[in-house]
Amino acid sequence: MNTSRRAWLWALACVLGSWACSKKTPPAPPERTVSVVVTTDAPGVVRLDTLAWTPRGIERLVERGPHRVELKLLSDGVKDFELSAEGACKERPVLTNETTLHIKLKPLFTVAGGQQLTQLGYDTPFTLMVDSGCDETKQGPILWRIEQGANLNLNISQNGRLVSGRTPTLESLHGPVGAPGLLTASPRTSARTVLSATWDDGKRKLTQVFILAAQTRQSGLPSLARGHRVWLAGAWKVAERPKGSRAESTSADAYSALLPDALGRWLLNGPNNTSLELNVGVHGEGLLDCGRADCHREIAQHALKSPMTTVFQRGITAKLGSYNTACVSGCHTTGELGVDDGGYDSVLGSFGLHATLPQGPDAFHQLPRDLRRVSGVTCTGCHGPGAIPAPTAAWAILRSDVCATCHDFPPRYEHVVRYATTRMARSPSRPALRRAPCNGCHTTSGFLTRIGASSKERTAPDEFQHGLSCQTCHAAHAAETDQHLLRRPRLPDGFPSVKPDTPGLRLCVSCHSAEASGSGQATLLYASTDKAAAPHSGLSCTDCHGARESDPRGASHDFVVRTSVCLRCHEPPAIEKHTDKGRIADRAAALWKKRVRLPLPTPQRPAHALALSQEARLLSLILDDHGAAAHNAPYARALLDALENELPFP
Amino acid sequence: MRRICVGLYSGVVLACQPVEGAGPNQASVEERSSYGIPTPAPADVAGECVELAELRVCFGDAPKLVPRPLPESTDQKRFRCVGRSDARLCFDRRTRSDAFVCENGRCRQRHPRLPDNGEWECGDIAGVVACRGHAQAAGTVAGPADPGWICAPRAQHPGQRVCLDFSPDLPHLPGPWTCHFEHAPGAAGRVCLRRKSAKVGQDCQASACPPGTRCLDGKCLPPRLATGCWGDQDCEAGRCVLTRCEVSR
Repeated sequence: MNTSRRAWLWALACVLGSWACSKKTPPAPPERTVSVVVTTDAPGVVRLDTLAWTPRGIERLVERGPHRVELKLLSDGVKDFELSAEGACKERPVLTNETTLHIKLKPLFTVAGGQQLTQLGYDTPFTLMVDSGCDETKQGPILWRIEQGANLNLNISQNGRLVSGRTPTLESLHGPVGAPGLLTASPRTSARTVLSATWDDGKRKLTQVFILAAQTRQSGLPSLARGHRVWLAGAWKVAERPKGSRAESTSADAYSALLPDALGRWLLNGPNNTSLELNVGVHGEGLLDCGRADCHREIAQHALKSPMTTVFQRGITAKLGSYNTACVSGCHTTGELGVDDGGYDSVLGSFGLHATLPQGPDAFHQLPRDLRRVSGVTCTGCHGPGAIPAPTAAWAILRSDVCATCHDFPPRYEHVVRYATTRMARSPSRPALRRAPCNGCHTTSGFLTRIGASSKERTAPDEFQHGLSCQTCHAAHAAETDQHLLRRPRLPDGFPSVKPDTPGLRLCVSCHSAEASGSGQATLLYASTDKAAAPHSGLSCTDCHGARESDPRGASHDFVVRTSVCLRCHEPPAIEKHTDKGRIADRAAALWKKRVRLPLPTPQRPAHALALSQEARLLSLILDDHGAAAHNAPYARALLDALENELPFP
Repeated sequence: MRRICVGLYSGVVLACQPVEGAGPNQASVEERSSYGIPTPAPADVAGECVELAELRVCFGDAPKLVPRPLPESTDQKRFRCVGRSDARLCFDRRTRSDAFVCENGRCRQRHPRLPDNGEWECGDIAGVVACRGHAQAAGTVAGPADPGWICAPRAQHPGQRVCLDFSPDLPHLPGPWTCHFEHAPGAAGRVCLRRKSAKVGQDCQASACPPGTRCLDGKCLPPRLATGCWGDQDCEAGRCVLTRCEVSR
């Protein structure tokens, strides 16, 4: 019978008996103090902050922290006790004569190979084996769920203790392999998959998150991290490598792979006597002094305001609602998961911390310095940790593939897949459009130079012309941006200041207005006469061409106007009546044929690209704009009336 | 020990029973959890007080050794304490810096403790870590300064700072340790070798006191708590010793 039970029985006897409680108490066993040090190899999974114990006898908690808890145990006859914590197997240590007892709490289950297997390779089988941490987790199923990403044709057996699958082929994800050079990989095109595994017996529960991918994300920049396997289109061989390296490229039919194992400059020789220079570094360890006065001081200051810079800090301090640091790491942090590249995941491992970190107002400040420096999307997160690229490779930072490393993960992040459906995404399809003045709206570099956002052209080689990229409209670290990091170019001269502060309006107008020597959708949209006000003058382009807040995120990036948008203001039968679509276009086409005597404009040969009379330019506002009738039917009609009747232009 | 007591009528306690772990005591400890553990140093005297290895020194008119209380623990080397008197806090070193990985008498700390998020160039001088800070870390959210550093603007170099850590991290294995910073790309960190060397805070009799210290209270101590130079060129007259300008006599 243990001491506590004896004490209770004695108390009961006191109550029931007729004799006073002041009589003799049972003799206390000799007291001895034992220090109990509780640690775990799986902080985050095993939550030491929830440590509890039975039975009595624990005098007090001396200290509590993420790594270690110390208890003082008054061993007044207690031979054993039980410790439990969230995510951990229960432990029943037996007291011996030792004055200090070290106890390591094991997680309820682990999975061999770790939680981030992000370089599995394409068309490669994989197996996840669950190791039950204790007897209690040997029973009952472990339930697996695909939280996000590709369906890897998982085969789950042995009550969830064995999971196998195969990654997709490279071709099935990327399509036909393109021009020789660095391939790119987004979460979508690397088959990145977030899996969760849950063991739950009704009393205790543990869910762990696992991230699998065929390859780590790859932006197409030649600035890389050590340990980050890169994939290349075509057959490439290492010609020069840093001292101490032994890595060789491996080649399949149409592509090669290289795992850089040393820091410094690499030179690869590829098809048709081409060569490619790669610079390999590590995140975090390099200097983050890009903001020195004589370098990128202003950019560094502006970057501090970027939501990408602060996203992790806002998340972990509970400003973004529910925030699982295990799920967001990789995109809200710098570096690749499962790679010792000096990035967030790598530093996390050095500190013995688990991907699931506690949240709270002070949680960011509690992180070690070197972890804070790779939390958030930092400079090297986009620019790579290697080195400033050679001038011939400077164009690569303008690739949409840089943004796609995070914003291409349907169904939650659809920015890239939706934007790929637009004509803007394929804009510089003809060589002529890549030259001035057309490149001012038809290439990213040309546009940025024209609006003063870039001091030099960074024209991509012809084989890598992929249309206007994300960077055309979005600026990660510009002095002045609108919501969603949208650029704020100056409005063209003579353009009415209609809602100039509406996010995105200045951008659209910078190309889609006659004043900017582009197609005149915005000019027509806001044009008015004495008799007819512009019906949509109170709106901006994106009020209709994509709802601003959308779910899934980025769904608005196809810029399609859906009927539901019109129905917010217009009755269904009235739309056609208001827009008079067919008639307005027919009248404009007839006038063009009669007066201008040129072939009708087409999307391939738009009117705004021609040297035209004033009359023809006005007609082009209608003919170049498929939405002319919807944009501003009253003005279009007034314009056509004036042209047909040879009246002054409205 | 917290107890629940049972009484049948007012004023008469019939029995008390200790309760299990969770309770108000536990919650009050939780609040201090991984943050600083209040550990008052009631014997502090006037002036700034700092930890110096296993010593505690208050720098008033002259350095004076005072008792160095620590939180109760099985491993007291784990603590790094800052502040003075009742406002003194002790921190678990592992929450802000990673463990040394040791092999053949050589231990390496991959992510050594530095004064703050910024860019620092550091070195060990007689067991003290000295750092020169020259830039903010670009593109990162700033965090708090690491507690316990003594910092001052660097002389002759506006915008730069010099900081000292008199209580740097050391390997968990028995010493003596002599440490230095390595800056090789991909292998940067702080490396400690099992080797004896003169240290600030050592017994005066052990060997000659290191430059910048004098024998005070039987220990090799700096005469005052000051920093601000990073090489002789920073001192208008004299030399920079232990990051402090000293006029030559």
